[in-house]
Amino acid sequence: MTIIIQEDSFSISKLILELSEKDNVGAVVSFSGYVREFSKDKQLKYMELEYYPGMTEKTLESIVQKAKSHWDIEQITIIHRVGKLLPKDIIVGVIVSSRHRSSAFKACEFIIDFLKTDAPFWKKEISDKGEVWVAERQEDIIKKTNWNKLD
Amino acid sequence: MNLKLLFFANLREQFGFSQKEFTLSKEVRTPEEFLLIMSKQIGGEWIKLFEDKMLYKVAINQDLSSWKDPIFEGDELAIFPPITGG
Repeated sequence: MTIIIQEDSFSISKLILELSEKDNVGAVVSFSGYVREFSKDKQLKYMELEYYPGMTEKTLESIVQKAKSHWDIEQITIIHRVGKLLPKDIIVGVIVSSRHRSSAFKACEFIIDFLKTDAPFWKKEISDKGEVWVAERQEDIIKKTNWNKLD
Repeated sequence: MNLKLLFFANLREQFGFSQKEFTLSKEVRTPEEFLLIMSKQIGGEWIKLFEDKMLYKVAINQDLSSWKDPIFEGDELAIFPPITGG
């Protein structure tokens, strides 16, 4: 398991390649999230992302452990950026490798769904309409709740 | 009783600090009671935070907790809005 929180950008393809080169890998599934240039009726200038050092890493580790308890996973890399992000910048990457594709697909979706609602990160949008802290999305809560049937 | 308090996002901006150590003259049993004492002793934005606390989340020693969970000497409390990462 690799968990990275950093200000710098990163190459998702390099991280995918790294996992694909390890032993016992038959599938690598990745999710990458980007900053949208428009949010509702606003044109975004930039975004500021903050996190809770310590708790964020601890929460991500716990999400990874849960994923590993449900699916047969080889490796997991989670990378999340903080600080100032511009439109179209990459924000987050989740890369999962497994022997067979089904486990990697499911675990990748599980991890990003829980990251969205449980890992302490906060986004502030600075747009042509001013500054606003992003509110949680009901859709994200529903997505997480849908995983309850796993337990 | 000593407590470390951390604020994030809009709360950090409103209160003007990201972390502060508090020494309280008496024992506080829960995060809710801590906010109540601060709202009585200091007032202002603490009153609003106490009233609006259900809009926020609380972590005790970096574990997501409830407003009525127990807190102890030296604990780290963090109060923040719902999470919006990813």
